Amino acid sequence: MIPALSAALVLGLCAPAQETAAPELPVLDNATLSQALAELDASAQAELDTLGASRDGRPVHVLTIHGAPRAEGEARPAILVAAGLDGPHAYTSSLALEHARRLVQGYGRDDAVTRFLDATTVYVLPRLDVDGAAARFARPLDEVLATGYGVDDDRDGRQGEDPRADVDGDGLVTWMRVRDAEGEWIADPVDPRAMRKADRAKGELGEYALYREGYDADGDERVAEDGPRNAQVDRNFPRAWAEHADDAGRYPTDEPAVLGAVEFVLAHDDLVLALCYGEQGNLVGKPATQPDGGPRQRGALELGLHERDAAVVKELGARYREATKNTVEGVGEQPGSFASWLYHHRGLWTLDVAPWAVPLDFTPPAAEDAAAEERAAPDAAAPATAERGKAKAKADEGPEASDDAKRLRWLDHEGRDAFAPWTPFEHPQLGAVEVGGFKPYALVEPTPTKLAELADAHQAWLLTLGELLPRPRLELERFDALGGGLYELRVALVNDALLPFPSHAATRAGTVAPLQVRLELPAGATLVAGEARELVETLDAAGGRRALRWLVTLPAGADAPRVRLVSRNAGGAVLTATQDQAAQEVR
Amino acid sequence: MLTLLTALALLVPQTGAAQAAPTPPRPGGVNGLPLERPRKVDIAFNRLYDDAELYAHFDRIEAAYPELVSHEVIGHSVEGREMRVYTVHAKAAGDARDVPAMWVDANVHGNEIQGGEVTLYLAWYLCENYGALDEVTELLDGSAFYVLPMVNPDGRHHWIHDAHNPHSSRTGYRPVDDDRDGVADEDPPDDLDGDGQITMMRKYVPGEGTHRIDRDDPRVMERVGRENPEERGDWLLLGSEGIDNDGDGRVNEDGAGGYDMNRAWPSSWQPEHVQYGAGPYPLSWPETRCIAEFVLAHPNLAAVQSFHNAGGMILRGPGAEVFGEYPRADLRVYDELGKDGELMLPFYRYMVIWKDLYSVFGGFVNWTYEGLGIISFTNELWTDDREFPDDEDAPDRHWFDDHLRLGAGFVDWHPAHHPLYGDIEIGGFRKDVGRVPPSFMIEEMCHRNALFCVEHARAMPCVTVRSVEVAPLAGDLRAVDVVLENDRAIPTRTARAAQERVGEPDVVTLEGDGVEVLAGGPNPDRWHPERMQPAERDPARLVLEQGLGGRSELHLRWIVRGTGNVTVRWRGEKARDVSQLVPIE
Repeated sequence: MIPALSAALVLGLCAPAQETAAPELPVLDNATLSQALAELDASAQAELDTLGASRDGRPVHVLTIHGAPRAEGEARPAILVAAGLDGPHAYTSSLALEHARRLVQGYGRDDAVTRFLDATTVYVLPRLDVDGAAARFARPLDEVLATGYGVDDDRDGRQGEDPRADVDGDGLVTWMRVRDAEGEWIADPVDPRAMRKADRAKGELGEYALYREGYDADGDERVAEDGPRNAQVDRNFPRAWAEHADDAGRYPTDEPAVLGAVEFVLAHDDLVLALCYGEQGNLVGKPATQPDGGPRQRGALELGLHERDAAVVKELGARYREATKNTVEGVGEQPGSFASWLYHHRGLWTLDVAPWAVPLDFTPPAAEDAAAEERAAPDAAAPATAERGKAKAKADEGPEASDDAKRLRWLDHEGRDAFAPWTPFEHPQLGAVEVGGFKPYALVEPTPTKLAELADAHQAWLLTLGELLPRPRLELERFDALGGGLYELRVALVNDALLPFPSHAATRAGTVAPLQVRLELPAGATLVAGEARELVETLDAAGGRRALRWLVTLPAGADAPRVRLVSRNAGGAVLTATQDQAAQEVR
Repeated sequence: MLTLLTALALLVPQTGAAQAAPTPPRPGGVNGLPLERPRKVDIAFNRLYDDAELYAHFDRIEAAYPELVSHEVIGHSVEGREMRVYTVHAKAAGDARDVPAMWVDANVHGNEIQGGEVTLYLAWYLCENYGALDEVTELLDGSAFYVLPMVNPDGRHHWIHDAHNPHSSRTGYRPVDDDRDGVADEDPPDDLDGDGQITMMRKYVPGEGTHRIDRDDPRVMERVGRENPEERGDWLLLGSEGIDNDGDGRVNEDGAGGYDMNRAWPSSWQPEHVQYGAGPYPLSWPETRCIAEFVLAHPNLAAVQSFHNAGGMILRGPGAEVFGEYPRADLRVYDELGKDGELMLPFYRYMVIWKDLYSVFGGFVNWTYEGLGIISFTNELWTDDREFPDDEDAPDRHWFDDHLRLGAGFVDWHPAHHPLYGDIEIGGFRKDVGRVPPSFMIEEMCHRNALFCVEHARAMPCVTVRSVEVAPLAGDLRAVDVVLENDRAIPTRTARAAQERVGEPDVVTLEGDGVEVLAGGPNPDRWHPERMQPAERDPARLVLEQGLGGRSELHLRWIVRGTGNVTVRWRGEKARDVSQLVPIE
């Protein structure tokens, strides 16, 4: 990584690229991220604000990005881009920042960006867990999920007395393996660097105990089992909050960043959709679903998209995969997470993106070569070539590789400095151990080059989302004179977008304000039948219509009645029904 | 005159006796007060107070008993009223944080006000009897009460000062757009006749109505058509007093607030569409959040009571069937206290919230027990069974009102004009009828419920070192046998707390210079000490996740070497720490 080039990219100044150098996007520390956000704040298209301070007192930023000032009566829908939901995924903040930068800088220069921002507000919350991200740049280097309220993990009446530590002083918190007849682990025969559990059903005996790198500071024969912090920001949201779990916190929203995010979302009823970068993912695999009505027993745990919403997310997923080529499924919906709360309790369309993972299906070039040779010399009598190639590769490899061995295969091929070799070390409490294993962030973070590719793909995709948001229009169906100054006015509210208004989760939770259709009559007119203000709770997608009907009297020469759509997050519209449009014949 | 003479007669010898030899105080006839000792603070317990008056009475108690009472402001309500916690504890006996404490609150529902008076009575009773009644003295020396008289001072204030009915002003006062029209709190009930009450509206529509006037009592409206759907009455009942303020065709559909602060607590919290009133997230209102922070900052809380009205109930969780049942060991404690409560509180029944009342998600006492492992009750104060305690076939509440309030509880139907319905009549029971007791029954309610709190508080754990024996073992080894005892009903760690690893476990240490602790652990079988369960490590510091059970002993044995003085010390969150010096010779 070349720091100067990275910084230039962050600031959006295209440094003269060397011919062969692919663009790179670095992982940003908190100061650099804050600085970059502050620079965007100088633009007329962006305002920087804070959700408050984190548990350790760091500011949690949110950037509002908008296009042209809103027209009178226009309720512009908004998209929330959230990233950096936990420390290990600090890199996702770079994706969020790139969205912000490209939107701000593209506005007025790039038609697609201008069109998008003139119709859609974007809130970028680039790093929710700023304290976790700080660990990404601290020494010793460790992946830190737990940044919140601490508990007594080992129930010895002391809290936080036996944390992880960099025992061998190499600047990394990795792993320790110890020869132990009672251990459950063995070195994977496929790649002895990788540790896997012994398969006792197959008669394998464990050879190692495996520990996080650390001491037995409290002398309880357990290693690094009681760190100072436990609660995780992305487990402290109210939705399906796992009370009494060590990582859940004392109560939902106990973590200051969580309270800030919750209050921000509640205060922004223009939000329609959230794009969350992290570990979960609901666009690539098949996300869990549940019946539209929820569970049979009141109060039972609900997980998964409601079926009606799942159909929409499935289509969005197909488009996402097409646009980004991302194949990472993610770990699925997690209790107490931000994304889970946004969908289930606030009813936002919530798209979870797990941008990157080490591929497990990587075939090393040697095996590829063998397969290619097979293809080059087809044997008519043999089974289908590809299958035979697979069978051959499997036979050559012997036992099935563990997932970690598969990861190492790819990391080796990429030449990444991802693994600290197991190195003998004399541990003060455990005696002879080996310290080593995957380096922190090696399995989480893409390379700067890959990160830049991800930013490109996801920016293009983000711009397509604006088109999908419901912005219903009013369509005059009929304006008939019935005689004697009595008129019938029929208007349809029509949604042409891919997304219905609102999500089923929102309908269920009652969290999205209904659309209001107001009839505005000129002086002297009277409403004979119909509601002066109709509340429309739902509108189907792609041509969904709601017909509205009024009978009114209009004095001769009166101004035309008007129908106005008022919403919080679905645009706005005014339809004027002039008497020119009214059929003069009495039917 | 006779009374005055009697009092004088009592006073005179007392003065003389005080100079000669102190006379032990004798229990008198007034709430356990010794007759010869006048009350320091006189409070009328035959009426209900507004928020300012209630705090003012607490302040008088605090001023009269500074050695027993202090208060702190832990936050403010939505409308800025103080959230006050009064700590009642004998300061001379040490810091309240070092002794087990009982939380007592009231009035989370703004209209359920009389719990405030019960908390006032509790504080007053404890202070007046400290130093005079041994039970009270021991209680305030060895434990503390944290009393929060009003969880919802805004609701109380408005219920008392504004026009309401018995059920309204339950909510807090943060505006909520109940009818989802984009405007909050714009269509509340309206006091059309200006009498400070929200009663009912009826309209005379001969032959077109749904109701008729009861033949025996013209104040009572009777629904018609129950048996014959064709039947019509002469009257329509039009609901609570009010107009369609926002012109949406509905009346009184968006009043002040619109939520329930007893559905806001973290355990089993469910959002609004599962549990009405839950609000946008747990502890979202300032009243609830500051209480949660206080409770979490006081791990010495070992008992909880939260007063509501009405119905005459001593409620425990679970709040919802989906939770399952509480651990058996804790149920024994609940049942014992609950059954005592039924005896102390005539016409109250000991009940399970979801099974016997209705489902509640996110209730306060559900959080304090299910979340924090504290034995917790909600008493629903006042039941109209108290109106006619002897009569199974009691007459209706009009009879009670007519004979015991001379009709003061009912607003007679009277004509009024309504902008939409035209000529109507307004009438019905006043807001202080139905859910709060009549004035002459308030003091009894206060006393019985305050003493139920005392009963509950006296069940909080109290650990003592019951015995220590040092016996020679082989060579220069000694066995130190210690028996710890908790003689109260509530364990130092409830089964729930132990199961969910809430708070810190109890710790017992044996320490001393010159003495080496080689082994130690529980010794469950006194006849077979070899069945002791030596701790895996750190024998001088035994960690007890399960704590000391209710009314139980814990036998511990240490094997030590050397001589000197050692100290055995028990420490836990919910009882006063104890220690004893043990010479090893």
